[in-house]
Amino acid sequence: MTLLLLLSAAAWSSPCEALLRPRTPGVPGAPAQAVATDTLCLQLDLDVAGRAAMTTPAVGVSRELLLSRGQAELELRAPVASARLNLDAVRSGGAAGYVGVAGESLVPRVQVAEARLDLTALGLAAAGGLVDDLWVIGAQDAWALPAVALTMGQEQGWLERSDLGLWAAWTAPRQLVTISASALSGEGLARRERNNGQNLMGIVTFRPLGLTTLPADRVEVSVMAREGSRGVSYAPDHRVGARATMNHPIASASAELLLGWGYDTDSKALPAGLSLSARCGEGCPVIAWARVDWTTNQRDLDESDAVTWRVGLGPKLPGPTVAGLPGVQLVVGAEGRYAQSQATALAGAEAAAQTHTVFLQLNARLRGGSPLSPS
Amino acid sequence: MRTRPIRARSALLLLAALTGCSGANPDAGRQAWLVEQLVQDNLVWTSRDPALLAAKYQKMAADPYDFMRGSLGVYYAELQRTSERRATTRFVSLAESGAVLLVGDPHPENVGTFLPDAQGADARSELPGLVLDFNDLDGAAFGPWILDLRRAAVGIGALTLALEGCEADCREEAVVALAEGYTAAVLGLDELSASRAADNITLKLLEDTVEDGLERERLDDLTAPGEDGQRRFLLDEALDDEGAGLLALSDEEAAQLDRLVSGLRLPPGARALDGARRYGSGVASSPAVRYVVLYDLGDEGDLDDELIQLREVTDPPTPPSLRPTLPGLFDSQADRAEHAPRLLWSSPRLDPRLDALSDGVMTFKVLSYSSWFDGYNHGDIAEDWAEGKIGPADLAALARSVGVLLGEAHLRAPTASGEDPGPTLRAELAQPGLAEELLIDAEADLSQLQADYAHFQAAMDSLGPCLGADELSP
Repeated sequence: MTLLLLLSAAAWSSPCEALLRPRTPGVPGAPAQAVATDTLCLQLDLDVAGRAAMTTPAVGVSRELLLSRGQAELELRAPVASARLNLDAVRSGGAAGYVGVAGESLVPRVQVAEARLDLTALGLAAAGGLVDDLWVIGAQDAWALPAVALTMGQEQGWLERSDLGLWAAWTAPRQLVTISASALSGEGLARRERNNGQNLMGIVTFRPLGLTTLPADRVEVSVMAREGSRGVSYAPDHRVGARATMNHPIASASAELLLGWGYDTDSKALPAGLSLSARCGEGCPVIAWARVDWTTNQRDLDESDAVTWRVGLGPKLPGPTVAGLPGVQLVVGAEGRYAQSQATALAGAEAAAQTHTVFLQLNARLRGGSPLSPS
Repeated sequence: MRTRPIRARSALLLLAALTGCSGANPDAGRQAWLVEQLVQDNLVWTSRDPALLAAKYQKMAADPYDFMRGSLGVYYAELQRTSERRATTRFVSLAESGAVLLVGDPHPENVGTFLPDAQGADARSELPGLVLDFNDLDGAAFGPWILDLRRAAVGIGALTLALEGCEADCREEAVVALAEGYTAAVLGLDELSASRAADNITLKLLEDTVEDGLERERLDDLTAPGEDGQRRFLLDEALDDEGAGLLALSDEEAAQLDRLVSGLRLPPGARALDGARRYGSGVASSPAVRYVVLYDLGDEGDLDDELIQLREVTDPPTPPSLRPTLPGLFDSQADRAEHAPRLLWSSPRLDPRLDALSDGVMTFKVLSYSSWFDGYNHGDIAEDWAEGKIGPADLAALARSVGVLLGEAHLRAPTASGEDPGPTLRAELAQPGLAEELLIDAEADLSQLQADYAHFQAAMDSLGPCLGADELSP
């Protein structure tokens, strides 16, 4: 009987295991083995993190308990088509408002609602709906610790996690190159369309070593350009970026450069940022990271720079792994931000020039899949 | 009609577009930014009732002062706008100084008279003691103390724009007086009491208020006795050209007002006699729902009749702060609407009818609406100035009074951490240079206000009465 159950489990788990492998942004899923076209697999991915943090200077609420991550993703994958829904938790009423839902309750927000097509043999992938911003999701993959901090572009508000629109991508054999193009509303996931302009973005990613062993041993270099507009007045919202990522079983490192023309409907803003990060890889005995972001919203303006550093450490806890990292993590971290006089909210306010935070965070990211019968 | 920018679809054209962007007409960019800020600030009204929003914009277009009143969010956004070199402050170096409970929008028209001991008919038995204080604290939030002072200086500056002959020297005198008044209040200087109500602008306000209060002018203007002898509201059939008027309640509004009235803290024996929806008051909050309620204390006749107003309160603009958010002492919008005034006022019961009520997601603040509660009016001040009844010395004295009120208000309320702000404010003001910094900032802010007012008028002409956000309305 036990043997029968094991055989049965093996019979259904294998195609889903192949089909539900983590995807590289823009790259069609490529099952390691032939999968019947009517195979249907359900994947559930829950990513939750709670944080206790203390910030200095200790003004207002400086000792906080936070839900630093609360995401649920449901995806149905078939060999050619897939549908994905990603919800995250947001504070209704915003960070400072009182007008929310049932007070200022945390509420689920649709972050991604994506229909996707993968033509693996041709190297083609395409998606439509409320789709990932391929540059942001690529940066998130490179950083790998979104529960600790958002990527530089997201954190600064220069890029949105997702947007209404569509993208298409072609990947060369051996995945040496991926070329993607997207047309998005430009308003991001939280605002409806304000104008008739679309954000057009192109990304080219080179992988000189190919994708022989995913994701370790991967070396990627990506460049991006976006022509965009935002708001009812078509304020310019252009971006260019370059990113280099190196993954090794012992350590991973990433460098990202972003430049912008226009930001948050301010056509004169010239944002720029450089993010350097490194973390322990799959073969490392601990979880550890370090990241430094240099940012400015006006790169031609003196005294407008801010530097944010982050470090963190934690033991590797037993349990399943997701994307090469332990599914459950208990980490301590520290962050500091130094802002020049033009980079503080009120120019010159020394009290806002430096902030430091230490935190203890428990992350749980768990993912599992199961076959379904098409109905 | 909106213009659509040239689209670049090839890499070459993209580069050309980027180059062109960096050399774009700065005025066009400024106007676009201004429009975006206003659209975002007023989204709640856009989605609820675009006609009321259009009426608000129409009010803001009347003159720079009214534009200033309707654009606090733009002012805060401008202070945080990093695409221009901003004047740096030499203050706000101590952490608690960045977390003071702000009045929010302390321009002169938000200062008014209060009758603290108003309790129906008893208050009218003798000439009452009126008190001056801030009468609109909808913008109350935690932030750097100097923001309030800068905003007050902008308000004083905007006031001078309609005063013929009041140029840079006249403004300078007023702004210096504002800084001196604030410093005197915070440092507890001796001449403080002598600075009160010494100007002809304030004296006239007090005289007019006493006269109107004794005559119960507002009550007589808005209500009249019916055949049964009981007063009722004099309702308009429709709103006037400026969107103002007193209209009968719809069924939905009547039900909401019933719910609100049932939660009111009225004196014992009080009876609500009538209610109406009031349109066209204020500037920033003019699209907010306003009700007026007529009540009495149960006596025969109308000597005990009083008015209160209930006005919807929304989230205030977020001031540039030490951190993106400075959550403070308030549990809810209703708590903020009621307790921010109680913390900032010279007496928690400055308005005995002050209250705040929630009805679903909406919050209403409740205030007295008698003629004893009045305020400065920039149009009246300009008229008196033109007639030679007031001069630069009066303006400076008014500015000093505003500075004193502001300093006293800041000292009363605890910081976002619950600390006494006194030691921090006194330490900050121990260093010199406040008036000098304020003068520079006030001139720059006023110049920007005038430029933005022109942009706003141009945008109204080119984009329409809702600034092109019509498609965002339901």
